[in-house]
Amino acid sequence: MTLQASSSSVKATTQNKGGLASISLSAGLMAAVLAYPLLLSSYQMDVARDALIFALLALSLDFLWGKAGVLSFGQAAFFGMGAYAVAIVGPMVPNDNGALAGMVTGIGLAVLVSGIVGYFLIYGGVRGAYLTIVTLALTLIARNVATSWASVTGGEAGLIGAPPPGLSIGGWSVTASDSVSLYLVVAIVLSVTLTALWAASRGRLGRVLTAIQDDEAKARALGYDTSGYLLAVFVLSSGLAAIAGGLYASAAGYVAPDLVGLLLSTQAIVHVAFGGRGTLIGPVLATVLVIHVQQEVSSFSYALWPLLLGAFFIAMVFLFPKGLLPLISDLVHRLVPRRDRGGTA
Amino acid sequence: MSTPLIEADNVGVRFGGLVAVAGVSLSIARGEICCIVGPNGAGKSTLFNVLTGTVKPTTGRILIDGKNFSGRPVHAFARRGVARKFQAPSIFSSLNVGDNLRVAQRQGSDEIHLGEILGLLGFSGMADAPAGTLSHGQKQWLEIGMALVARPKVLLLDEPTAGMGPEETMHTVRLIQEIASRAAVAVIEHDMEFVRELGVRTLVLHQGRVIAEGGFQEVADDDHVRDVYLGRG
Repeated sequence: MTLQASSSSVKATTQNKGGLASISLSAGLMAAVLAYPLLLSSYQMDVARDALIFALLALSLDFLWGKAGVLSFGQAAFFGMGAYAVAIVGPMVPNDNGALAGMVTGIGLAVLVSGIVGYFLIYGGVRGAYLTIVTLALTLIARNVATSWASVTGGEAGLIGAPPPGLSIGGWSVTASDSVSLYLVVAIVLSVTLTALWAASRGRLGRVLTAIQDDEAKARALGYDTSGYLLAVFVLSSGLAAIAGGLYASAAGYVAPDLVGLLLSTQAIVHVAFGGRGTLIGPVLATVLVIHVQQEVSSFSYALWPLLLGAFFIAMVFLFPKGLLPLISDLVHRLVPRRDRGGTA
Repeated sequence: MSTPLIEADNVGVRFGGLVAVAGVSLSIARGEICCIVGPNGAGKSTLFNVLTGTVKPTTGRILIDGKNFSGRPVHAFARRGVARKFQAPSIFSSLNVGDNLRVAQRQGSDEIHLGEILGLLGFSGMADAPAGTLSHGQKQWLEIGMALVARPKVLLLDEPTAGMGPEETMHTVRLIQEIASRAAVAVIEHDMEFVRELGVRTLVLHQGRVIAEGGFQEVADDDHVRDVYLGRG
């Protein structure tokens, strides 16, 4: 009997080459997006910085949702843990290490909570929509804690006085308190995280996570502790959300209960869906784009933005459900003749 | 015969009031192939589920390499060398052929062994093909390859020729015979042509019990087996 390699393997090779081209394209785009705000006014730089922080939040969700297939509404809860930890623990620590100490506390708290909740859920066999619903509850609980435990969290008013990012060892110390250095700190954290997640997803881990998304029972039968993988990704993603929250509090200097709301979780989900689930860089670029457009539209008419966003989202579900980045790469594949692509890649 | 690689010792499985498997004993040694046949609902797949740890036996023990594995999780069975091919072809369709095998390799990466498996399956040069685009028969072979690439001690194949044409079925017979030199193999199959061609020790299950055991011809001549299969009982 003969089995022919058919055209499918040929197609796969061109896809790989297309992949290489799109990697360099996205890296260049990313660099441009990160560098551009440095030319702007300090106010606009602050807005861009917050956009990058929300991009980090979207990235943390995409690693969980896109790579491991777990849709979570809990990102805001972990974001809030990071933010509140910096605002509460930060001012207690002397020198310039407050933000760092708060950040470590926030990450620890997020890892602990996601580890405990995730352990019982994931090892208990809870998957899909059921898991999503529990993460929804997590954010609602966190929101309640933030508003009700006023003696610690400041209640509805929130807390001011979160220290800026800094480091002090012995007599030497450095803080990032002006717009440029704050922006750079955030941009560096985001780039490092994006690169690390991207690299991790390319190798064995990415393969195993894809396999789990395709058929978890089969992956388990092959000897993988699939619950362990999902839990690890869940905990890592929560820790990253806490870092984003910590950066936000540290850069803005205050926290408010809005940061823990369901709205923030939903926003992250929209950004991931818009950018392209599982593409990692897509949600980052989408967040920056959406926040930029939001600003432009809101300055024109405040009521217009939610209407526009809603309409856009509905259109997206019908026209390009996989998100923006896959749409662009589809268009590139269609517009650029096959021969040209093979030659240049 | 050497010590069996996998042994079911008087295994029983009960789902509520339903007895799916009742006191089945079975042992398979290296280099041995054992065929399990029986009508629908006889308990074949449940027996496989017990042998791979997916279902915990209500009574009895499962020994792998002489060690008791009853009640251990699925991945512990897999790490001990028990590999399984499911009834419906279950491959990772988002990954390509090579990555399917790499995921199945689990520990380390041995691209040379991977190449050998690709050759054995007749998939040379197809490592980059998306697994989702394979034909039904090719998916079945890929799944057998995924079981093989981890160098299993025990390979359990649940209806490996389901949906295959006669030519593909014969290729599968040769593949299984090739595999048996490296592992203990158990096969569930409905296709009697396939079982005859394989010509190995055959176990007939009916209503959760072993009603006959022996060489294919011996079992095929058994009156009780004929009754069960032809519905005269």
